[in-house]
Amino acid sequence: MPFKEKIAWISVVTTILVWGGFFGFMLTTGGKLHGAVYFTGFIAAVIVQTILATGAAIVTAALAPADAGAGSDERDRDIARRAYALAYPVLIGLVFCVAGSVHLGFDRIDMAYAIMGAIVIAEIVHYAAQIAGYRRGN
Amino acid sequence: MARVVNQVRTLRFLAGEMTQAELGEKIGLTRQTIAAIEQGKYSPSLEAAFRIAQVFGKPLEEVFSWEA
Repeated sequence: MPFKEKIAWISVVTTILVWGGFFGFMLTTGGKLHGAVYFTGFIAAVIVQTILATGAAIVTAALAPADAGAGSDERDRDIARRAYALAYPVLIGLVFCVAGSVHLGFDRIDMAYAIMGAIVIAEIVHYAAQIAGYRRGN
Repeated sequence: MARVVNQVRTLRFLAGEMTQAELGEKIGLTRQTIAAIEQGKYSPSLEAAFRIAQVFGKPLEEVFSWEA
């Protein structure tokens, strides 16, 4: 498995676990807790994902140093370009939906978290598209 | 379905069982990309195709061909 595909797997799994946990917590509590609780959770999610993704990437690189040291070639760049091309419209579409939610009575804080959710979903689409590209071969 | 087929695996064998990593290193592609090319999963750019042919000292059409 190419090193970049391993990194994409690490990224998608940690993103789903960490941000799924954070937004799951928000949804189950219905946003009724004090704002500081959610903000602390948000900061914790950023830190936990950084630690998990970085740690896993370091271990993966240590297990296959030659693959990790290799730069991107034309296939990697093609796959990355296509993944961005897929994720970007998803991000734009979701951000427009969030912007439209102002008419549903969402406040600024809700919208900020909704935009964060849109970024997370777009990132998941991006990594998933990368994985699909590597699985397919191009 | 029409597709690009190639003789890269055979040519590597004839070149003293050159490894995918060695070929990749010569032309600036990763080992995994060479594997994808050999399996017909990835069609390289024209530039990469010429470089592969150059490594084996063959004309492009002896390495890559269009199978209708």
